[in-house]
Amino acid sequence: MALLNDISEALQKGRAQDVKTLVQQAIDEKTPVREILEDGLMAGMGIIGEKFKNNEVYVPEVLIAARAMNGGIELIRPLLVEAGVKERGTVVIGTVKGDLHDIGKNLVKMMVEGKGMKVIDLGTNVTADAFVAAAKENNAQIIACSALLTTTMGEMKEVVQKAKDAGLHGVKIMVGGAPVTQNFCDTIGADAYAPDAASAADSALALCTA
Amino acid sequence: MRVESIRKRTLDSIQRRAEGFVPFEFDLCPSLLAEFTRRTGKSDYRDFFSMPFRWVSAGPQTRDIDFTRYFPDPDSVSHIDAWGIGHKAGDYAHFERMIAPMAGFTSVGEFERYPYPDPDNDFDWTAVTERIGQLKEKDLVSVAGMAVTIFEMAWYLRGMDTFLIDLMTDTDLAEYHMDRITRIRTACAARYAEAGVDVLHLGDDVATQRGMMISPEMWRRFLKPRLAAVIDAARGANPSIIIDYHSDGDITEIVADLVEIGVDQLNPIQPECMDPYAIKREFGDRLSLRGAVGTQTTMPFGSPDEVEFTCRRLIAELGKGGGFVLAPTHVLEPEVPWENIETLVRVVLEHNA
Repeated sequence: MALLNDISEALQKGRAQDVKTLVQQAIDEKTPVREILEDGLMAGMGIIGEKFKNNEVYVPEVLIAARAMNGGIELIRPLLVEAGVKERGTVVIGTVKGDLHDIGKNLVKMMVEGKGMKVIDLGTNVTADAFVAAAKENNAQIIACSALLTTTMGEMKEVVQKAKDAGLHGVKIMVGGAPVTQNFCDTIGADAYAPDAASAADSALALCTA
Repeated sequence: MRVESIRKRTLDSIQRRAEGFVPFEFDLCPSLLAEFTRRTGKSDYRDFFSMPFRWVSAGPQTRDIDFTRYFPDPDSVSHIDAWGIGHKAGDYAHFERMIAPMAGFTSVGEFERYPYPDPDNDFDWTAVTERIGQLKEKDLVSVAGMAVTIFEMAWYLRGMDTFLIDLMTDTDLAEYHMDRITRIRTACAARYAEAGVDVLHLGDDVATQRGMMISPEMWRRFLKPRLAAVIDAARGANPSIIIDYHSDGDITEIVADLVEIGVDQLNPIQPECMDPYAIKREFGDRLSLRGAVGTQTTMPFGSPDEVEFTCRRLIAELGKGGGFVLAPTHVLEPEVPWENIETLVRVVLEHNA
């Protein structure tokens, strides 16, 4: 549908006002809200994610695309509730204890939301206990941990251990951040590693729908 | 006995006039500094290990300005620096959070009214000139610290997300802000050069380990000309000043641009995401390298043997024709084993003996 494609295009260009106008138009034309979400907003964010992964767009482009997406979501939120459209999963995300870096974590959050999942953002300097408590409280399928520093990445092992101790066997632990590797992920017994934000969102969705 | 000047050997090496001698340096985090002191009874590891480089800085000095009005919640800020950036200590190691005073600005007028530091009145140039002279007498190389030159200073003041969005959608705000910072930096670059500093250290982290944080086109449009102006100001005052440029992450895409605008030495060349050997092959006749010892791999997680192997290979290949300062790519953090630091020092001293 042309209008949904226009929403996707406007979102990719980060044109927040255009996205709002087009989404409102789609609502007025009685376009099913799931289509506005999936074929308009999420489609656009998916393309931005792929381009970001391939270094065809960069952080500023992602930020304005995500901002445009959020504007569109705000408009359709009541309709999503009404239509019973559920999120595709719930992810608790945060930067681990001791680490105050957040841009990478925020990018993952944007990409995961762009896949239609709910994100509970615990911010930075998050203890293993806080990850576990939030995962329980929100019935999350995934705990996603970020670290930029070799000094703090060890904390991820603590998260894996605490989740196990708390009996959160169904909850998958994802890890990422500059110094983190697949090998490190395997060593600490985490479930998935992603080298970039878009891949993290793909993995999260795969883990939620597996 | 012939006593060779370390200062001369270092300058000859980084200007690629001689090969053989490889200068080295590293920075220790507070807990490793404590470990150094415990082991040696000394407090200055640069002196102890005979590293040739010493920092000089004119400021900005502490200013009598109440910046608290720029913070919606002044109590959340534990310290405000001379630029007006808020800092709040984290609760682990030496890490701290920064709070941007300009986050809420929406008009150029607000930027115009902001008390950016003044290069004449808020910096102490007399002390810098004296210190540069003292360092020369001590056979040391002076390095003026002016990292966080434009891009990073812009976002420290404005907030990272906000500034990156400004670059897309509010370019008039972004350009005004960067111009104000650039004017301060060019004036200071000229003053440092006039004062006779050996090396001017510039830097902005413009990349992640997966590539540029902003597009190369955006960097060329907004940052390259401003960085070039800072370099030109320094060169105008002292043509032989050495320009050292730092960016974390993979900046392979803009190395040629940096060489073009006059960067002499690149730092830190993170081996986890950039190939220092390839950079040496392509640019080694025009560009010196400082760094290249991985602080996500070799230093924290390598065995002493691996540290030795890595350092020997770097010295052998990057040191060809001069133009290599062996250094870890970042401050050494608490988890780096002391044996690895000792190994690095031993390898480079053996090479230089």
